[in-house]
Amino acid sequence: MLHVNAVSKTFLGGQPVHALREVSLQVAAGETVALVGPSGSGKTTLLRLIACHLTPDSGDLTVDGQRVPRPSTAAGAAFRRRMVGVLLQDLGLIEMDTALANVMLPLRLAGVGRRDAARRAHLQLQKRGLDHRSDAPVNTLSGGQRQRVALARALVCEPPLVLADEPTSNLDADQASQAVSDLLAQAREHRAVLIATHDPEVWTRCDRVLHLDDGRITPHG
Amino acid sequence: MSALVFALGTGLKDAWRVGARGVLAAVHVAVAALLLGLSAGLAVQSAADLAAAQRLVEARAVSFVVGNPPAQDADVTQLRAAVAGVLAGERGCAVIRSGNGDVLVFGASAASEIASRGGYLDPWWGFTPTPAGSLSPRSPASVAQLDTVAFVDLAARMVLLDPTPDALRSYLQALRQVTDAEPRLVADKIRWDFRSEYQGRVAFLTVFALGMLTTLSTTLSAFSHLLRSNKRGVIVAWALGASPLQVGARWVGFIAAVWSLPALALSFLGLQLVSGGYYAPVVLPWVATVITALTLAGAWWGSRWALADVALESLREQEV
Repeated sequence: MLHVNAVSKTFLGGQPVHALREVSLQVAAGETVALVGPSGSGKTTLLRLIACHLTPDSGDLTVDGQRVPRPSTAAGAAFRRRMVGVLLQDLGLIEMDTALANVMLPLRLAGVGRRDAARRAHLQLQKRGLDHRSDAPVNTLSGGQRQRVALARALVCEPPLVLADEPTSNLDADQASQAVSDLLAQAREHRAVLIATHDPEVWTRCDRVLHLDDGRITPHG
Repeated sequence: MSALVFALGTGLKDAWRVGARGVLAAVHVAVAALLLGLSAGLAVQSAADLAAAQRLVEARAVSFVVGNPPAQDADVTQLRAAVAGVLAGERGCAVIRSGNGDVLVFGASAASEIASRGGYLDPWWGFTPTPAGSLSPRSPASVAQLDTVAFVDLAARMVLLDPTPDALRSYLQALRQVTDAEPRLVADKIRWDFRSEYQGRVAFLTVFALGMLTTLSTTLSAFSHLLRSNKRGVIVAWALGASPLQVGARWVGFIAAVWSLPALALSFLGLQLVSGGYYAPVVLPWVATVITALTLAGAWWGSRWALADVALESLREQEV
């Protein structure tokens, strides 16, 4: 499903930062993979490259046989809508919008009509036990509820690949456990799931763990 | 298309959501637009007045200072002939302010050309911006039907363009048969009256321009805060698959809501205030063009700025 082949990325600035150095990995459909490593090891950069938020300096990335396009193009936008569901580290919810409006957003951007988008978004919220809060502004929801709204939004377009960046960082133990279960359940629907995390409760439940250190994949110690 | 409309609508909604900052920016935009509108209107009006005055000077226009009103039974036969001669003359014209309102008598192409500039020089009251809609062109035939008092009033207020000495002598002679009258070069009147008028307008415009600059700088500062408030929503939408076009549309909606709509509305109001409605339709398309260009430039710049930050944020967070 996901193929990353010798991908490198350097951020140029006052001091160039070599975020990734020839990283290669593969994630199969139905597989859950944890990406672990210290802060600054390149986890978020790798997820952003796969999610078509950044362009690699070199190397290839493909998702479901489709090469990841340049982010600033229309093809890049279409890729982000159809191929990947992203759970951002800070969730990236529109705070003053309702839960339903947040989940509808990717569908509306894809040109789905309001009524159909609302029906599909409602279904996603219902799956996560949030249908009773669908009209509540996101800033009135608890941390766990917000996390579930963000996951509903990531999945509403039914992407083949799900990316999650530190999905449990702001949750208590119970909420974290529920969130991880919800994420891992996506593999049963034949999706590939890649999770960047520091949390042992997360990576011990994944099928495979990849360790990233100083921009390189290293054997997990 | 529906996705584009959605993106545009989301931009409007974003503007609404930014709340107090949005209101603050809108107030600044409104004040700046009002000042801009007033300044633009006044500047255009002044330019038109100057052009009209210049034409009268170049045409060696002559007006009359009149003393007593005519007797009811005065014989105006000769005066009627003189007025008819002026109106029929190829180079003569009359620009008149009558007791019943502004009246323009078309006597020749020169008169209509002056009138088309939107204002005329009233030799008694200085420069008078004249809304074109309020002018009532009169034909020589309708002038001939005026009663004696109205006719003499009209004849005394005529301005002769480029008259020959004989034509001026003949006209003055006819006028003096019914009332006291002295000829004056309109150019003198302009020199006497316009200096103070001109200085007043320059001072007025300077104060307005300074106020506008101050307000504009505050507006831009408020606008910058607004962009920052809205940036996150745009980045999230982009990350979820908004196309470059949709991101641009979202910014257009946002910027139009906090910038263009109040600016357009208040520019129009400002122009109406200054020109009595005449110049608004003339200048407004230019104002609208500038604002549209600003909106599009803002949208483009905002999009690039917001999206470029996606990469920078990675560095800032040191979560590379």
